Amino acid sequence: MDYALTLLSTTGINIILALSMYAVMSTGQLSLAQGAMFGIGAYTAAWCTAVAGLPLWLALLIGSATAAAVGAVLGAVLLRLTHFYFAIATLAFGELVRVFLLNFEWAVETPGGLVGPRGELGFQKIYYLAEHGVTVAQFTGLVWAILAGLFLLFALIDVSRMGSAFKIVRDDQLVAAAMGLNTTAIKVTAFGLGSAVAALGGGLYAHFATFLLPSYFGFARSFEALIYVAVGGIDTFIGAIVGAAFLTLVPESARVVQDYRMIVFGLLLILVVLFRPRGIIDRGTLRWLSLWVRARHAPGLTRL
Amino acid sequence: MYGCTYALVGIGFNLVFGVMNMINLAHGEVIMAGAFIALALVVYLDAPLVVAGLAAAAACALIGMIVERTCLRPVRRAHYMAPLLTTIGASIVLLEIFIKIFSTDEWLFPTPFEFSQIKVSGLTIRVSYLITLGVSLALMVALHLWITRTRSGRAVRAIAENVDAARLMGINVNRLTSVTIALASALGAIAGVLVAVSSSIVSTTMGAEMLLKGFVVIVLGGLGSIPGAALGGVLLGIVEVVTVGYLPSLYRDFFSFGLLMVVLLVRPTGLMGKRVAERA
Repeated sequence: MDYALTLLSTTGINIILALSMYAVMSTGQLSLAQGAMFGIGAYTAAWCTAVAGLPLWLALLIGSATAAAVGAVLGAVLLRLTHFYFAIATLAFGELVRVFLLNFEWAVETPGGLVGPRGELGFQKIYYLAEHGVTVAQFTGLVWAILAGLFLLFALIDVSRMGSAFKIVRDDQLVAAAMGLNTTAIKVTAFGLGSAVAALGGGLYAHFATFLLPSYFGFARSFEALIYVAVGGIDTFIGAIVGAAFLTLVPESARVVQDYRMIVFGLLLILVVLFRPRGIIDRGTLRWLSLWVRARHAPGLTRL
Repeated sequence: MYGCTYALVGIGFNLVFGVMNMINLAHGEVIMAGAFIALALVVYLDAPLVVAGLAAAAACALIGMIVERTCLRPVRRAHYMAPLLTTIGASIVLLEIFIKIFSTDEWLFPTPFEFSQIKVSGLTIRVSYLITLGVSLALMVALHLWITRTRSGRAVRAIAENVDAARLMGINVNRLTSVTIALASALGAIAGVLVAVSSSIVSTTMGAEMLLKGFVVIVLGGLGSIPGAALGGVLLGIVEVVTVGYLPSLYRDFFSFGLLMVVLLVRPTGLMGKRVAERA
């Protein structure tokens, strides 16, 4: 039972990470800093509960806000660059964060021992859940409640003017600019949003894992997020969700895949980009699905 | 000394970018592959270093050609993100294969001249550094001559200028692209072996490190420019040595990535870059 719940939590956190990547990619930008934002959220939230003794919800909020602020500043500076210069710059930023965390020491003596970021040793003893008697089931519930909130948020953005603006910027920046849209502001918004969402996932991850190492937040983590979205589908946020869920659960259920997980992911990424460039779930799939659902309920409709 | 190997790494990137207008993100792992193939040959087959280096270069040329065929050529005219994604996929696959074979441990690279030094008028120089310097310079000069003086080098420049025009002139674009990426990968493999020889340690994290160093180099020197990459490599080498002199060594990487971001912002085309910003 606990295993299933742990798996559910992991899946939830991976989906949140994928959504953060989707937010940035929905404006046509490729960010390789999502892993770093995830790390910033994890470290900040962990520091808030383990050292400052704040409640979990506040810690998650602070972690998210910190990453959003970092993302907004970084985005405002870097998003003047064109596409792959931006990708390279975010990669460099991700490495900056990782190297920073490797050298960052701010441990505090507490009754339970030395707590806080300790350079290469990472951030250990994040025992908030155990200390407050939060069970795995309750934590899983929290993860999925947050995920439900994010689902709603992304669905709202998708149908709002902001969502349309994201898509126009993604499809053609010149057209977007000609329509009077402030393309840089839109891209910065998406990047800030993505950073905040990634940090939220990071904060949850920190309390779930109980210890953090700087090496978790290198660009391998960003690549993972990228694979979730690229394989799942870059057209809609549903694709990101399906991609993350699928790629987390399948390796768990098949031992062979687990052993060669990253090789399979890498090959899958290449194959999807070559043969289904918009990902497994695209607009067409969604339309087909909704038609299928409607067809099944057709008898009910004809009676009207 | 490191500057020269960085220059080789950067040149590998820029050759591919110049010809295909795409960045090969798998290049770092190709370099790692080169170092490990040479290591395996030296350790298990007792091959002499030169033979091992050449074999690694040949193997990596092949890897490079496979990457080009599967990940770059099919997406030549696709969205800019497509080649980035496919080469990320290729880099993950390469990295994981080598982790499966060699684990993530650090390996000692046995070199015949580990601690040998030469004294020149009071300066002691390690032989491995001299070899690094010599080989890198020789390769750079050879590459420069190939690009500027030969028929196929001219064809490569034509492709870099305009693919369609080059094709209309009867240039076999696909074949030359293959040759170029094979060359870039072989150079990368040699760079990997040189790094392994001068630091006498190889590990699978090396690919990622080289990828990032390569980025710093090409951004410093200018995307697509080969002399720029050489200059960028030497500059990065100097910057690293100077910062190590004054700052704790852990800040070395911090400084070079910081430098990368600053250069991107101030002069995105690099010191000797083409005016790519307008084309992009």
